[in-house]
Amino acid sequence: MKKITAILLSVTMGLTFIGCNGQTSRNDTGGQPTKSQDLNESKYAPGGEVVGEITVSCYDTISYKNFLDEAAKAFEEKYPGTKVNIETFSQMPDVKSQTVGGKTIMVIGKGEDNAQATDDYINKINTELMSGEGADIIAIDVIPYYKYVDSGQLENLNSYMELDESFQINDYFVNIFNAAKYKEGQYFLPIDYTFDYLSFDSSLFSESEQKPLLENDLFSYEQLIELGQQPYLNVNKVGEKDQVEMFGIFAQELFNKMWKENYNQFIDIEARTVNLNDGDFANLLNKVRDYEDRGYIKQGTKNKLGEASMGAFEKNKLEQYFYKANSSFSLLQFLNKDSKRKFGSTSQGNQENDIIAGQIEGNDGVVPYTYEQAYGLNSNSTNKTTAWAFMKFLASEEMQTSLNLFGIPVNKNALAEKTKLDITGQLFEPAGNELKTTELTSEQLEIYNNYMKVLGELSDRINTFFVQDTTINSIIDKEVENFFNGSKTSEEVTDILQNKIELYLSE
Amino acid sequence: MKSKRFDSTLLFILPGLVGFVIFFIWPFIISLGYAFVDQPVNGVFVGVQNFVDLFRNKAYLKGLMNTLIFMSISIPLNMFLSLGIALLVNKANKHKEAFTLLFLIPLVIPSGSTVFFWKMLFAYDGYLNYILSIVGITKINWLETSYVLFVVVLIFIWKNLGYNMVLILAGLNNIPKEYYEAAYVDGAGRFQCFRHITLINLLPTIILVLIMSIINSFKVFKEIYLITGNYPHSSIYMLQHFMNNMFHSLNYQRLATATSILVLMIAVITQFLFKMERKVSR
Amino acid sequence: MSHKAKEMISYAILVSISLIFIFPLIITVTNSFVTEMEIGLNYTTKLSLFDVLDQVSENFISMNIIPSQFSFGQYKEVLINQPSFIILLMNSIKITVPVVIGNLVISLLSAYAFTIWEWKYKEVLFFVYVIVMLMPLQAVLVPNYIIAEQLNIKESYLAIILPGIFSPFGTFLLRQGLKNMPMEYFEAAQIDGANKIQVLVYIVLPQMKSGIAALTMLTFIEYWNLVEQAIIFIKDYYKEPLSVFLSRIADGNIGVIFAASCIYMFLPFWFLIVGQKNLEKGIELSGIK
Repeated sequence: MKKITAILLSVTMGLTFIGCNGQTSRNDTGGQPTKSQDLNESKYAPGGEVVGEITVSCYDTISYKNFLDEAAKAFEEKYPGTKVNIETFSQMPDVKSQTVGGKTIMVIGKGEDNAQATDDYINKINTELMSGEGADIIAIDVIPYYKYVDSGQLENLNSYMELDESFQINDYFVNIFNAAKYKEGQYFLPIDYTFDYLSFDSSLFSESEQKPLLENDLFSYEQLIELGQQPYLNVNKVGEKDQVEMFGIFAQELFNKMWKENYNQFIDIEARTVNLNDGDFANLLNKVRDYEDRGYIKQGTKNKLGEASMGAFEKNKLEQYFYKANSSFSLLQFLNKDSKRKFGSTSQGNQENDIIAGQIEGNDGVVPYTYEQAYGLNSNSTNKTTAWAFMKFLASEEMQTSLNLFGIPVNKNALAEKTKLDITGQLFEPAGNELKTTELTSEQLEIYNNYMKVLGELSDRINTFFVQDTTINSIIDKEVENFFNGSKTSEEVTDILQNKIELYLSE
Repeated sequence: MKSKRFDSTLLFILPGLVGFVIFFIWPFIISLGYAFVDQPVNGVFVGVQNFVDLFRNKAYLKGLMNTLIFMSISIPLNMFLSLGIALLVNKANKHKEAFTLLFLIPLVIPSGSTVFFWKMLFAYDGYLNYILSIVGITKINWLETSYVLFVVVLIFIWKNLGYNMVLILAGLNNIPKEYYEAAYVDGAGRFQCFRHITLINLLPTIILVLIMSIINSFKVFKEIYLITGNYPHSSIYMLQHFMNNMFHSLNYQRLATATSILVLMIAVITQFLFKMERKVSR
Repeated sequence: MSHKAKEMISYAILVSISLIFIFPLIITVTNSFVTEMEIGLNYTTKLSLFDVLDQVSENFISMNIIPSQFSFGQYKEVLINQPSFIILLMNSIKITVPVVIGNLVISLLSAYAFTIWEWKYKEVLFFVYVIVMLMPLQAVLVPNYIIAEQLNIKESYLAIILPGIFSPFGTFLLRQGLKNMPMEYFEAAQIDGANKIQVLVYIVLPQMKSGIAALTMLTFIEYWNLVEQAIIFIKDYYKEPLSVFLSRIADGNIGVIFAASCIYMFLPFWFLIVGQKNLEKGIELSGIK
């Protein structure tokens, strides 16, 4: 038997040796690097020809797929000899029959946000990438991108952006790009951005109470609550049933916003540390519950009474709140009351007397943003020239004016163009097939100038994109729910979270 | 003459062996190779650094510890239960097939709906707590406290009992009836028959079942994840969670390192089991 | 009398344990005849408007064994309104059947060869067979992908079927079973002048009846439930097996989950009952010849 063990061991050793040989022979194209990190610092090689086939992979969300399809078609026309494949994650469309007025109709929809499907998508992408393959361009949507950077799967775009002369950095909101850097590298390119801006209902504040709101630009939630305390007492009579709330959101939603404003204080992904149990996190939980008890925010939890009826929606439109954190989607609509744009945050309540105050800031003056779409370049890609050309194309004026791009364009020229089209209403009802700017009337011009000024001011204050991790966020979401539904105390919740996230980051 | 006979046996093993080398040995080697590089693509040879790092990794050690605890509870328990039930089913003259089928049900139900079922049963507002509340016991958070280990062991046994039972039943049927007849003629009692014929002849099967139980104790985690998530209560954070999360993080080299240690450990156990088998059968 | 009493007791034990095992099945089957709306009400902890009016503050999930209203709605939804369901079911069959048959043939040949082979190192080779089987799935997904790429079978079912056919589990199972067979059987047959194939067909096969039955059953179930490989190798969702679809259903479409599960289970059940009997009969016949 000893003999067998010996043979087994030598076989295993032999096998591993062969395995290593197989390993090195597959990457002998790159010479003999001493450390594989160096390999990631591959530089942009100018003068490559834009030709051949590339693949873009994204998890199938509506915004990505439509935009990419449109871009692929235009790109292939612009560069003959190229082919762009859009690979979305295959998921069965959800066909449902509904009986309406005696008739059965079929409703085809994409399955909702499905945790299992997201997981499957990541598994698939990872298998391809770790095999040294995968799509040339990867949408940074559901994937925890910093892990892809850490394992060398994403190309650092710094040199591309610097050395490629056709890429003019000044055409873009540079602070948006810079905020997205991770370990000083530009590993992905956000091609649009969204952020929240703060407005208050001037009919609920006296003139002197409005003063601090108008004079400052950045506020923390705590400051806002403090500034709102006196007006709150003036407006609401004690013991009355329908109180005007400070924010039209539920406790867990507010909590989510508040802890994310201070993300870096609690979780530092670059350093792999988590700091939830020094009392601040628990204090924050209790603080939000206190706000709830005082009636500053909506009572109860969102889960329990999911009102989605038209009636509730209409009612909500009339509701007054002291403050509103609005998404940048609605900014133009806010400044242009007779806009033809019909989406945006109309569920935010009565906006008639709203005045923009500025933005909400986190610790250390952090003003964050998020994006709707962002892309990274696979470092295994065999056709980086074309892939980079396509990414540039996505950020070009031509594609940035597309209606399929929902966020604010990062391209300044495209933003100006798109805003004009939006104001004239042509963006949604193009005259003919061509999108062409007609002259703005003086009224429209005023709106345009005002919007560009306000948006410019708000955008310039943005300085952070949190390296977030959806896994951590969902761990926190799930656990915090136990606090707000009363089944666990804040200490219990923070202890559990500290342990779980510590474990996660130490893996 | 001799060489000719050798050739014909080779014909039997060759088709299987060729496919086995391509689809199992070769991936095995590739996978082991990753344990010695620093990243999955364009990696550089780093010697045993990955092994050193792994044994300093808190999450890995926790997973390893929990897995060992889980296995030492569930595998013997599952072994005895499935052996006992297989013997009972084998004795039942009527409805033998019906019972066999019954215990196979957990394997056939799609994992999606079993997961749904267990979730509904053990959720904080779930059916089990509903029953408890009727009896007057306060709600227990089954999935978020250390009770979750029992839940996991239960699900493991529920899922794998049938699997083992089928294997044991096949083993029982393989024992030639002549052995029992001969023993009966020799005047052996029931217990002696069981010990000297059933158990001894079942040994290859028992070893098969033990090894498969070890393998299946990893497989059942598909359900466990879906019920408790990737980051469950710390008492059921297993090696499999660790490996799955490594895969998610594209840390394939660490996954490969953890795997090779695991395989080495199981290889030693398997070796021991085979040794035992040979000793007894002699 | 005491013999009968004993039998009664063992039956009682069996029946009570079986009940625990089939509880999920009972729930699945009975709930498949419940209307989608009732499922929505039972399997949620959200409070409905009525609960609020009745001042109910807590709501538990309820599992009703008997539906309050009998309906074929779910089946209609799955079978008639979602034609893709049938396509997926066919895909599952296309993957599973070749694996079961191929694996059985390969395993039988290999197990037999391991039994009669007189090579010095055959135990070492056998040990390798077992060890390789121990690799966790995550660890072999990437190598499998690389190999499928090299063999150029990446986007076909072959990438799933071929590894299935050569899976060492069957060899392991059948060989452990063959260890009980007295060597004299082979020797006697050889003296009678039978060649190796004849020995395999007429002597080994009948003896291996229950081993083969167990192997086909377990292989069928394993590949019927396969999810991970399918996700990685199959790109077109009309080519996915049903198991992939069902693994995601728990999150969204719970209204039809029970009926879908019942249909999904039907085939393995049919296979276990009818298939097994025919298989065993077939083996017996081949032995008698």
